[in-house]
Amino acid sequence: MNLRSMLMSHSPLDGASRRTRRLVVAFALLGFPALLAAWFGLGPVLAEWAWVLVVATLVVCLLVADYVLWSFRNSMAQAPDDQLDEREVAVRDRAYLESYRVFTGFTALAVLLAAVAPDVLDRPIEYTFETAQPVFWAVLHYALVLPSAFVAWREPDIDPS
Amino acid sequence: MTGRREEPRLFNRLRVLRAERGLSRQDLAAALDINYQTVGYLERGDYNPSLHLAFQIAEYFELPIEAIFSREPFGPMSDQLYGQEAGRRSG
Repeated sequence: MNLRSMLMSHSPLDGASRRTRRLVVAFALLGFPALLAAWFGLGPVLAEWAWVLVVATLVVCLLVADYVLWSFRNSMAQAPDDQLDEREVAVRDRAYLESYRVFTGFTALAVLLAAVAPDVLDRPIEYTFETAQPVFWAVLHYALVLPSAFVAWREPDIDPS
Repeated sequence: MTGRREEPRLFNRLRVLRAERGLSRQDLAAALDINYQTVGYLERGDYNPSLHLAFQIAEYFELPIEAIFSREPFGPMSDQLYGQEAGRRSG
């Protein structure tokens, strides 16, 4: 067994109920805005150690959520055709189609907001390393997790019979 | 705007055939080289197999494809067997 198959063959979510999986999906999708809010909003409010604790906890929880989604049912959302049967290929392809639609929709909306924001706010937006970082991590996070999230959200519970 | 195209339901006798032969879902899945959960989907009629998989299943059970899959619901096997038997006797 190679390292990839060892890491990806079992996810803690494999036998979990759909309700539990949906909670993890919701956390993975909503956790990122929460992390940004904590990163930028809680600094002035909390003591430094508390801020670091909150941000670090959110980062670790997000990474764990992303990993368990990514490895869900033999990494169905990432696996090549020859590792899946025909139903799984159909599920994976549908997940990518829907991810593409959601991702491009939100990206277009974000670009539009960024374009009109200087006029609405009546001040220029500075594009610095600090402002570009959340955009970079958001693109990376959602591009990686969305297909897995769609699969984990939709797959029914395992039928034991 | 039209709604999502509904895939026509395909009925099958997979569960009965598997039970007759004392096969678990894992056994059948291994023989067909598919995930055992896909066997469940097929049995429940939640997933229509490709023509290739349908033929593979028919070959595995050594039955004609129409004995396993149908666009109309199957009646009980006993009705069909004994119905034919009774028909032959009366004919």
